[in-house]
Amino acid sequence: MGKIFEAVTRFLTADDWPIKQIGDDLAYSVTCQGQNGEWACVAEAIEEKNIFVFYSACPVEAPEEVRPRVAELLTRINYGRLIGNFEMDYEDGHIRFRTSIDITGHEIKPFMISQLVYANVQTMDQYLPAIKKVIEEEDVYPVIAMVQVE
Amino acid sequence: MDTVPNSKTSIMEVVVDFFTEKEWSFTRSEERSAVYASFHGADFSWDCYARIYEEAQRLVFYSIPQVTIPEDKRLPVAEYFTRANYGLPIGNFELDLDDGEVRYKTSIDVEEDRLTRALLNHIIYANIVTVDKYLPGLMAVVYGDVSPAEAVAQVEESSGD
Repeated sequence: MGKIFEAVTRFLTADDWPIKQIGDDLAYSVTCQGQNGEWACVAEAIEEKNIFVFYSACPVEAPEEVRPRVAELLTRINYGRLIGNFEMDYEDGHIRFRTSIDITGHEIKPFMISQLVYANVQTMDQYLPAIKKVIEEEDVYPVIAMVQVE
Repeated sequence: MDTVPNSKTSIMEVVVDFFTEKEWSFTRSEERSAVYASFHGADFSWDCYARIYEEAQRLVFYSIPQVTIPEDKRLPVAEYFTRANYGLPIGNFELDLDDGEVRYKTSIDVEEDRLTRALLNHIIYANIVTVDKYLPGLMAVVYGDVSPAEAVAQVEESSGD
């Protein structure tokens, strides 16, 4: 077990997250319940690159015809965000929010994991209604959907 | 009465020491809490700046390529960046859809710790390496009429991804 994965395990366990390891991967999946919905999260230790990544996976996917509008929305949301970013797989419409850190030459500390995890889930919770709106309502401007949740 | 020395170096000083040691040409602005520099890659040069939030103990580092995206190319660039961002481990491309400014952002919070040279090194080099890699694709989308999907594929293929 690598150092990052050990630290992530200790933190998530101590913080009472109901984690499940993903097969033999150095990664956990966990369900997060926010004010605006429920979604899956993944906490992954990429030991060979000394990177910890946390993803919130959006519970709705973008159908092909709305991906340009969703890309516009995510681009608008991402501009000016100080920590993390939304991303979308153009091939299948999966949307997620990523926070991560490279700790090469440094020790990963609990507060680093905490900041990445909580900034992540709070951001997904905030913008989830905007993402759903743009996917479900074809006459909504992405900028309006974004402003309505900010 | 003896004062307890502040053993935590400010983020500004860590950034300034880093650029000094690496012999980057830079300008420091206490008023804006920022350090401005330029980077010269193999084929492109661009501006960079480190924006420091001392109270929040946060550093955000931006690379700003010297290109303003014309209005009719902003949605293709939004697609290019969306495709590029997916799977990047650290940082992300940003596009201001209102004025066409592009930048790449990496950032870190060090609230209960201090910003070490090692952490700063990764924030900066992950940033400039990624920009250097994806800039040719950006130019191809803006000036070469290459589709965003093709531009990302070309960039990632040429770097062995």
